[in-house]
Amino acid sequence: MSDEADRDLRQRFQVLRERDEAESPAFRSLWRAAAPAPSRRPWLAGAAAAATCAALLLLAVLARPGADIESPRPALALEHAPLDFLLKPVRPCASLPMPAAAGRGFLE
Amino acid sequence: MSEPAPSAAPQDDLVRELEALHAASFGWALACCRRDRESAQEALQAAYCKVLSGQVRFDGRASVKTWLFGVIRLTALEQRRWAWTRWLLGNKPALDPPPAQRGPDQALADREEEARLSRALAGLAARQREVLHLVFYEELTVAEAAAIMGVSVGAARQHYERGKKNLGERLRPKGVER
Repeated sequence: MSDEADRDLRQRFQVLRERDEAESPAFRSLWRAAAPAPSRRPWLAGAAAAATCAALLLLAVLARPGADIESPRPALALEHAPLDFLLKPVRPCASLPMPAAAGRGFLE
Repeated sequence: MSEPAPSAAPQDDLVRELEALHAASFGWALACCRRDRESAQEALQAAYCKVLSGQVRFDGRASVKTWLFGVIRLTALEQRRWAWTRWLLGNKPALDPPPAQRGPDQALADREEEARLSRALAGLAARQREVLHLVFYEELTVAEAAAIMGVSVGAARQHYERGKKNLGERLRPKGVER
């Protein structure tokens, strides 16, 4: 490419540059917009931290070895189901006579 | 004896330098966003956000301009990828309309010329557009452009030559006299 063509390109780019510079947004506005906005709810982080601490404390207390936690099971064990009597062992009836059968003499 | 705040002074210096480079940065953001003003503004703001949040830090290995232009280029690239993702997911038409469809103000001849150049640039490959912008618009050397683009000088020179050829071809049919 000739020097003349280079000059032409350079000139075109300089016109473009002047236009861009005239129309570029203000630095301060972009810079301010880029700055991270302060949190709208600064108390939220503190509250979240406090809630987490409370939850951890509760877990630590509950998971302590030997922690005496009342269980509902004993109360349930005391209750009697309506058909409990069916599970009681049947007592052998000693007074019933042995039936007469062949070969009983061998046993006596 | 009280110690001065360690990071206040350098930060202020950096902000002053960023302010001095702002117009050039916006021009560079435009080049990285296919000359779309809205996208360029978003990319530049996001780049400033990275600087403010400490996501990117100036380590003094290159000039502030080289470093900042690199940040802007990567930020614009990320935004473009994100726009593509949103477009693929069908959330909203995030992609810019092709610059060729944006009609320039026909009443103003100089505007028409600028629009023609913008359209021609937008039609180039990204690397070619970037190196031409850095050399002709920012008046940097090809080596400096290579540093900003993160490519070798040889590769940058290749993009530069191809870009000039393609740009000339795109401008010529529109009646550009040589």
